[in-house]
Amino acid sequence: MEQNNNNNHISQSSFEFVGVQTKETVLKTKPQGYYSEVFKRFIKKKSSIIALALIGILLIFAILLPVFYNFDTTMSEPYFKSARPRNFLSSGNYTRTLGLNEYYNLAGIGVATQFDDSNPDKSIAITIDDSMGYKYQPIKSSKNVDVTFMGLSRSGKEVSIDSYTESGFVYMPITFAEWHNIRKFEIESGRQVIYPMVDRYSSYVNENGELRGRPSTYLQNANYWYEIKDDDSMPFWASDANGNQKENQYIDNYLKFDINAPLLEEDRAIHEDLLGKVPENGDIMLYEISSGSASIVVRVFTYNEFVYRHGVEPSFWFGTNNEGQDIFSRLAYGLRMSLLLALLVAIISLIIGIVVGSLAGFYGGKTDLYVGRVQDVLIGVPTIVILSLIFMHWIQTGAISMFVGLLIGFVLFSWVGYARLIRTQFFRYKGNEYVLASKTLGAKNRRLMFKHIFPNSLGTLITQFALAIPAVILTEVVLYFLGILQLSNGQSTLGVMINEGAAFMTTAPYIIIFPVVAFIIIMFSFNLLGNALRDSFDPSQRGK
Amino acid sequence: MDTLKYTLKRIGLMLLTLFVIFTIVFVLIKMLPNPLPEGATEAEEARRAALGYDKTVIEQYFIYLGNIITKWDWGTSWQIRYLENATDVFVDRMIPTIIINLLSFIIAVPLGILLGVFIAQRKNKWQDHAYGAVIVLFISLPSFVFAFILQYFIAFKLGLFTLKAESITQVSGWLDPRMLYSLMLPILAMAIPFIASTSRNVRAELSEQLGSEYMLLARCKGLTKRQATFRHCFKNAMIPILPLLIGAFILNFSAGSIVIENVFGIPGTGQLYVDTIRLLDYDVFMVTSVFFAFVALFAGLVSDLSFSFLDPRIRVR
Repeated sequence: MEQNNNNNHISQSSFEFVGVQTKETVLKTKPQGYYSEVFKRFIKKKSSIIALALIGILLIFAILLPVFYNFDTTMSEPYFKSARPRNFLSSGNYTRTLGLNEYYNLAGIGVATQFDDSNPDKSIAITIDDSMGYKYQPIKSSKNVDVTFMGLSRSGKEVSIDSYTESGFVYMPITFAEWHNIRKFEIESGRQVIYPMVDRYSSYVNENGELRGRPSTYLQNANYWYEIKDDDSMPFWASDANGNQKENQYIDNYLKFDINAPLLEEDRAIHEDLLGKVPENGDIMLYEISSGSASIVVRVFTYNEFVYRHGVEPSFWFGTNNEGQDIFSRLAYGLRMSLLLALLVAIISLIIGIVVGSLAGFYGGKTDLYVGRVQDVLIGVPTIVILSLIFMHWIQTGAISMFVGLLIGFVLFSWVGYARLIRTQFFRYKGNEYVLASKTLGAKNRRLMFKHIFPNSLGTLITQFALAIPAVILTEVVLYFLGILQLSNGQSTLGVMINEGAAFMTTAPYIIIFPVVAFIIIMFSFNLLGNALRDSFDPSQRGK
Repeated sequence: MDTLKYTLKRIGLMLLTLFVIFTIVFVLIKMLPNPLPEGATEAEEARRAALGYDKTVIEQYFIYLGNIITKWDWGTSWQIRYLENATDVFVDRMIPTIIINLLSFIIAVPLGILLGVFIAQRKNKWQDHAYGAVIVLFISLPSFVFAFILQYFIAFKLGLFTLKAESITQVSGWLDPRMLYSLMLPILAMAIPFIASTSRNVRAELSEQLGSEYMLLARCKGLTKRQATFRHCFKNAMIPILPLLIGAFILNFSAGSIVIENVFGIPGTGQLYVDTIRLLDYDVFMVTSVFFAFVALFAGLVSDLSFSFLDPRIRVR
C-alpha cells in the first residue's frame, strides 16, 4: 500500500519519454485512388507519350496549319497538275529524261518569259544559256544522256524541271474587261501575264524553199513560239550577221501586225479599246481578234496568271494531284472530317452502348436475349453493306448529307461493341457481395447500376473508345478508296486521295505518300494510345 | 449431350440471324429504283417478269425466297455477266480470292507462331523490346498500306514480282506459276498484319504459360527449357489461339481483303462485291452479301464452339 501511495507522488519530471515503440510502420505516402494510379502509370509509359504527341501533331496539322495556308480544297488548277511539293525541304523540282525536241520546247519557255514589251528585239535575241538560272526557266539543270525509245537510241537530256513553270504558256480567250484588268495588274505588280501571240495560221517557207502550212502543234501548244522543223519539231536556230547558225537561239514566230491586210471597222474599234491606238506595221501583237466575238485570244504565262487570280505565287506545301488540286488543304480537310466523324461516332455509340449494355447486363434474361439477337443481326450485316445502302438510299438522293449518313451508318453497329463489353462487366459484378450489401441497404436499381457496377467497366470502355476511332477511320477510308462512297466538289477524304494517288505511284509518288503517311500516323497513334490505356487500366498492374 | 444441344441451339440462332440479315438486305436493295433498261431483250423481260420485278417488294421477296428454297436459284446477273445465274457469277470469282487468302494464311500462321514463340522465350530481352516497339505499327496498319509499300519498294524500285496481278486470259489458269508469281505481293501484303497479330497473341499466351508453376515443375524434373516449352506450355498457350486461327481460316472463303483485290486488280469476290454495288447488280449483290454474312457468322460460331471443344475447363452453360 505504502509503495502504491508513493507511486502517486512521483513527480512528472522524473518520467522520461523513450520514443514510440510500435511494430506498425506509419504510411508516409498519401493514399492513392485507382484512377490517379492509372494516370500515373499512363504518363510513365513511353508509348502513351508518343501516341499523344502524334495525335497532337495530327490535330495541329488538321486544324491549326490550314489557317496559315493560302489555298483551299476548292482550288483546281489544270495547269498546275502534279506540281511537286514546295516547302522548306523540297524545291518543287523533279527529274525526267527528255528527247531533244521536248527539251528545247521546255527551255524555250524560260527564254520566252524574258520577252520585254519595251525592248522586243533584244529580248528575242536571248539564248538558252542566257536564260539558265532565270526564275521562270523550268529547266533547272541538265545533262546529256542517250534515250532509248522504241528500240532506237537518240540523244536526249536528263533534266531537273521546275514543276511550277513547266506548263509555260497557254492560249486563253478573255473578255475586253479582263484584258484591262490584267494589264492593270501587270503594271501594279511588275509581273508579265500576257505574252506575244504566236502566228499560228499563216504559211511559211521552209529551209528547202518549200511553202508549208504551220504545223498543227502550233494550234494547241502555246509553248511553240519559235520556228520548228516539220519532221521532228526541233527548232530552227538563228544565224548571226555572218550567216552562221547560233546554237540555242530561237527564231521567234510571233504574230506581227500587218498594215496591208484589210482591217475591219469593228476590229479597228477593238484595237483602239485595247491599246488606245491601232498598232503600227510590224508591231508584235499581244492578242488575236476573232471577228464578231466579244472575246479575244491571248497567250498567258500560267505562273503569273495564277498570281493574278489568287494574289499569291503558286507554292503548294504538299504539291498538287493530277487534277491540280492542292494536296495539303485537301489532306487537312479530310483529316478534320475523319477525326470529327470518328469522334462523334465513338461518343454516340458509347452513350447508346452504356445504356443498352447496362440494361441487358443488369436485368439479363429475356431482355438480354432479345438485345443479343438484335446485336447479332447488326454486326452480322457486313459494314460495307449498311453503309453502301445508306449511301444509295439517302445520301445520293440528297435526303441527308454525307457526314450525317456516315454518322448514322457507323453508330448503327459500333454501339454493339460497347454494349457487349458493359454487359459482360455487369454479369461479372452484379452478383458480388458489395452489390448485395448495397441492395440490402435499400439502394434503387439505378443506383446499383451506375454507382456500384458501372464504374468497374470504365477502364475497358475508355480503351475501347480510343480503339474505335481508328476502326471508324479505317472503314471510311476503305469505302472511299473503293469508290463506294463518292464526294461532291470541294470535299476530300483520305480514302479518295489514296485512290487518286495509287494510279500515279510510279510517276508521282508524293501524291499517295502524304495521305498514306497521314493514315499510318492516325492508325498507329490511336492504336498505341488504346494499348497504353489498356495496360494502364489493367487491374493486375496495381501497385507495380 | 449438352454440347450437342448447345451446338444445335447456336446453329439455329445463326440461321435465324442469317435469315433476318437476308431479309433486311433484300428489302433495302430492292427499294432502290430498278427500271427496265432501254432495249431490253425478250429474254430479259421474261426473266424480270418471272422474278416479279413489276410487283411490290414483298411479293418479290417471296418469289425470291421460293426460288431459293425450291430451285436454289439466287436470281440473275443483269450487269456483270448479262443474264447468267447469279450464283455462277459468284462461284467463278471465288477461286482467286480463296487462292490468295489460303496462301497468305498458310504463309502467315507458321511464321506468326514461330515469331511469337521466339519472342516469348526472350521476354524482357532486347529482342522483346524491339518487337514491342514495332508490333503495334504492324498490327494497326491494314493490309492495303503494306500493299502500297510492297508495290512501291519491291515491285517498282527493285523490279521483283509485278505491280498488278496477271490477267487470267494471259495465263493457263489460277495455279499457273506466272500467275502465282504475280500474286506474291498481294499474298505477302495480306500475310504481314496477320503474322503480326498471330505472333502477338502467341507471345502473350506463351509468356504467361512460361511463368506458371507447372513449368517450374517440368524444369525440376529435368526437362530442358525447349522440351518443357513445346511439350507443356505450347499446347496450353495454343488453346485460346487456335479458335482464333480456325475463325480466320474460315474467313478465308469470304472476301479476304476487298481493297487488296482492288489494288492489285485481282478479279475475286471482293472486287465483284464492289462492282455489284457500283453497277447495282441486285441479285449478285444479294448472293455476295448473304454469303459474306454467312461466312462471318459461321466463323464466329465455329470459333466459339472450338473453345469449349479444345479446353475441357470451359464448360458449356
